[in-house]
Amino acid sequence: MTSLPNTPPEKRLGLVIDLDACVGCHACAVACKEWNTGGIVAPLSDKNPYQAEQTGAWLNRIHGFEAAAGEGEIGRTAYFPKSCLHCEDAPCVTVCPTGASYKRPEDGIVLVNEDACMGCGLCAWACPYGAREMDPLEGVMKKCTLCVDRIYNETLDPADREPACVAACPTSARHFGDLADPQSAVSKMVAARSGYDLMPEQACRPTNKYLPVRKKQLERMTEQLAAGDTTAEGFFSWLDRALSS
Amino acid sequence: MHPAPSIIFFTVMAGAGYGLVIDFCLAVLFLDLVVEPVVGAIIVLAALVFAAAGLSSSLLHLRRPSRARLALSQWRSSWLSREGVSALVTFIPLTALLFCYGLGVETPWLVQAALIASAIGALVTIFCTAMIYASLRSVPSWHQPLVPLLYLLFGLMAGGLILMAILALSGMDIRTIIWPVIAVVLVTWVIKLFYWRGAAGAGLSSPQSATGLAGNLRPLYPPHSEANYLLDEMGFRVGRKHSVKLKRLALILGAAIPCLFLLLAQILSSPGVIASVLAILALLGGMISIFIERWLFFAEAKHTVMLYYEDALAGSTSR
Repeated sequence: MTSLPNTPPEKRLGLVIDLDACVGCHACAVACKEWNTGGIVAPLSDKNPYQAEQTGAWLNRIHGFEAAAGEGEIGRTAYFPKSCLHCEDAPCVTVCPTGASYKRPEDGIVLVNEDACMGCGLCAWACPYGAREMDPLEGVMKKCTLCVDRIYNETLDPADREPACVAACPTSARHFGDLADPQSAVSKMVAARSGYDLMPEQACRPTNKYLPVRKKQLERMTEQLAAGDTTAEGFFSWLDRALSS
Repeated sequence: MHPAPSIIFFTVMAGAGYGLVIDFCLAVLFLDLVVEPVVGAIIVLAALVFAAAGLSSSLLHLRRPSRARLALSQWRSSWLSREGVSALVTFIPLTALLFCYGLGVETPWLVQAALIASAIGALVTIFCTAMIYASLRSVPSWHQPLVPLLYLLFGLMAGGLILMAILALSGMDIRTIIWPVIAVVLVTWVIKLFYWRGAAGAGLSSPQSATGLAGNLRPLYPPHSEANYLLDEMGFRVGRKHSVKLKRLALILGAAIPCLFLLLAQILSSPGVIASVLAILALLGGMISIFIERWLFFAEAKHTVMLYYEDALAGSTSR
């Protein structure tokens, strides 16, 4: 049934993505493509892979934005990885006419049963985030599985039982865990850094959270100077007082 | 959104077929329309052909059409599934009605029951078709109550024009139903104009809410160097380029021509060749206008995912 689970899942497995740490290297997207073209959603195919006009299904896309570049503002470059957010109220699941799309009651992961997908594409239309892509050769919908074939995979070393994108990230910008458990590392991180939802107004209640950019050193210094903050310590405190007298 | 020909044909033709069923039922019940069994059979057959053509076309949109039967399973949650179930279930009373007229069954209650059941099924089907689109919050211009209303009205308009053409061709006096059909045509386009005015609205989301990044955002590094499924499906822009001209054309073909020709038929009175030609021209204009309207419905609709690509495609009119 493509109805959503009646009771909130016990676990809400998802990702926390730190926009302050992401350097836009695309390693997560490449690792995702590599794992998932061999994992349970295999093949994750490409059309014309080694020639012009290539196109293919990817489950993770990294945008680069220039943010706050208005007059008098400090401009910055923001890298923005985007994959399925495994929403609580996933509209992609309820629109599915065949029963291929489903949300797992046990851990909240949204998956596609490829044997039941007829490739109508309505789920991709229903997702406001653009998290689903049609496989150009298979003709079925592909999406992030949260590497369900890694995180529960007992043949892997316990340290490797995390999504491929998380394992690949060189700057630890991606974190994986249970967001229903307030004591989990990811939940604590979200609480400490004011993690937020993408497009809360779309009422999908996404599981994945994004951590905002920290106030930059420069901004902090500018603020301190403006506030006349001269709380030096130790030798400099003595020097400050001596020179001021 | 990408205006897929298979989906445009599906919504227009199925809407016309099921609209014809509702129009015919209303005309028989409230306008005292009495038809020969042969004419009744032709009307029902026409409705079945339109509906079947539309539904078959929808299968062309599927990448895996062999699995289409599964689409009837999720009616509890999915409007697309409900549409499929309702469209097929409506074929039962419609087929019964076809047999009644075809075999000359004169039992009035049986014909009426089949007629009313068909009309209710048709109404539900058109509503479900519209809700496939109106239920998507991710496409702000579709996510409004006007969408199901307009799908119903365009179905009734197309059905009314088909009904007129069939009645005129079979030599019947169409003057009793001309005014109601003109009224439907006018109401439909007034509400469509209202939709066109408001559809350009911004919607709930912005690049800022989509990313959580503050201030002006400008795409700097695209996430992919080549086209992808998201841009093919949701990055269509030609619609906005030609929309003013197309809307004018739709209004001429869909509102002015049918109203003018039907009024002429009313004035020239007497059934015959002239009335038939006028009714057929009104139908042709009406159907072409609905195809244009439906193309714009898809081509002009903007999906929230484009907030992540905003300006990346600005100036590009090839998508």
